[in-house]
Amino acid sequence: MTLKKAYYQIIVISLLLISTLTYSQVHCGTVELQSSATVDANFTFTDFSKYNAGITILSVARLRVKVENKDPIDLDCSWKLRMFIENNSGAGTAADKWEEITLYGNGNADQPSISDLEVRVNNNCGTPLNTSFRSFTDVNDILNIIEEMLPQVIVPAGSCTASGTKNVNGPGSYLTNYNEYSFDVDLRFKPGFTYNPGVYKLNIRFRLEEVN
Amino acid sequence: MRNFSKLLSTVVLIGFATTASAQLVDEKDVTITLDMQPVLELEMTTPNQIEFVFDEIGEYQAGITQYGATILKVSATVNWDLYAVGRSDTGNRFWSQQVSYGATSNSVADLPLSLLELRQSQQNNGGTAGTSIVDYSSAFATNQSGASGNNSLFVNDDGSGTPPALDNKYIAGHAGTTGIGDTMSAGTYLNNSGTTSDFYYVMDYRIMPKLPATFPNAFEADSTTSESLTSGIAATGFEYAEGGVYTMYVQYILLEDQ
Repeated sequence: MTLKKAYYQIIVISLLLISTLTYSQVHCGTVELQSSATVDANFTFTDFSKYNAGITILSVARLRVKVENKDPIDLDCSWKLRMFIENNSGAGTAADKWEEITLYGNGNADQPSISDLEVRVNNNCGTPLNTSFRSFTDVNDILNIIEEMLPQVIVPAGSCTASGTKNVNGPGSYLTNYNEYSFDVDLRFKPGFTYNPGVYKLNIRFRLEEVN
Repeated sequence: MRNFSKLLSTVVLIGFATTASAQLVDEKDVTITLDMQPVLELEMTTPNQIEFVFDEIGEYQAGITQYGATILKVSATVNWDLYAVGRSDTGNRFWSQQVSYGATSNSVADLPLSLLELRQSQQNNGGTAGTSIVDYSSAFATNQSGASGNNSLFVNDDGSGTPPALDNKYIAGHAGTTGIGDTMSAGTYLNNSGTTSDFYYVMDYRIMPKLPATFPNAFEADSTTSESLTSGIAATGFEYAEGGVYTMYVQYILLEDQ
């Protein structure tokens, strides 16, 4: 084989890969996750009863999913919805702690743990596989709302009418199937009395993703 | 040919890596702010005035004790200390004389605030750092047992509310912020075993003048240096209390210790 032929083959293979990249991994036309403007949730503990009982914020955000199929229809179009937690770890925050903004004391006690924050995501049909309050262990933890099934199982829009159907993940929209394609996010935090008083931050990232 | 195979493998790997992240994605964020403000709550049940009226010989000898006159309940979201300090309108370490029943050449009107004795129902479980008497949990000394500074009220020399030092008394916790033997953990009396918890204190008060009225159980903040009227804190030669009406107040202070 001459060098010239070898280069020719490389170019052909590269073009094939680019072609694969362009078409073979995209099964859906669009995926869109909507919510009301940027959401900020404030847990402010100013009296003892709040520390003792915790604070629950219901419907802090309402996520709306819109996944359109391609034209012509691709039977493999499905999606998953997951939650990630961020604490600005690049600035030195420990993986299992809240990011410290300011302290109200000398900081001799513990920093609040990420695992004390509880999140519940549900919709009117109860399609998430887990509809109870859950918590992240640290920033490496990922919580599924609508999961990617192995082997892949696509539950089409409208399946909610069959009572108890979970994990609806086919193409659809909150506009036509509101109860399956919109999600309420509830938050709960009960600090107890062991943490340093101060101001802290976390960010929950909701990611809607096409399933390959 | 070997180089060609390597090149081909590399291209294929890059291709896979690229295609693995090619799916459609959309994201939204919820930012959470946690504002935990320190809360210290001292709930106190007590009469506005606690009166000690000495009008019988027996009361001078045995003293008057007001049992359970004050109940202190603590709720704190941070580590804490609790102490009592004697104060008066005079702005120094003496009771404020409101009425004199008649001064004599041997009487003294400057009664030390520390003549008031306290007794707390629970011992101080966060005061091992203390170097002298750490709290007011000792039983009141009897008339016959001699002078004792175990229960004398803490008073600052300047009459201020400054926290006690390591050799002074606290009700709970102690001086310092090391977190070892000088602090009480956060919590509340509401869910900590009620009356036997570290968040609930019943305070008894006693004044025992004896005869003549020299207040032998008055001691300085270190609990070892006597402040009785015969100890020379007042003008030399004046040895007993002047009859009259005196007032002072006990300030209970709950403070963050972390």
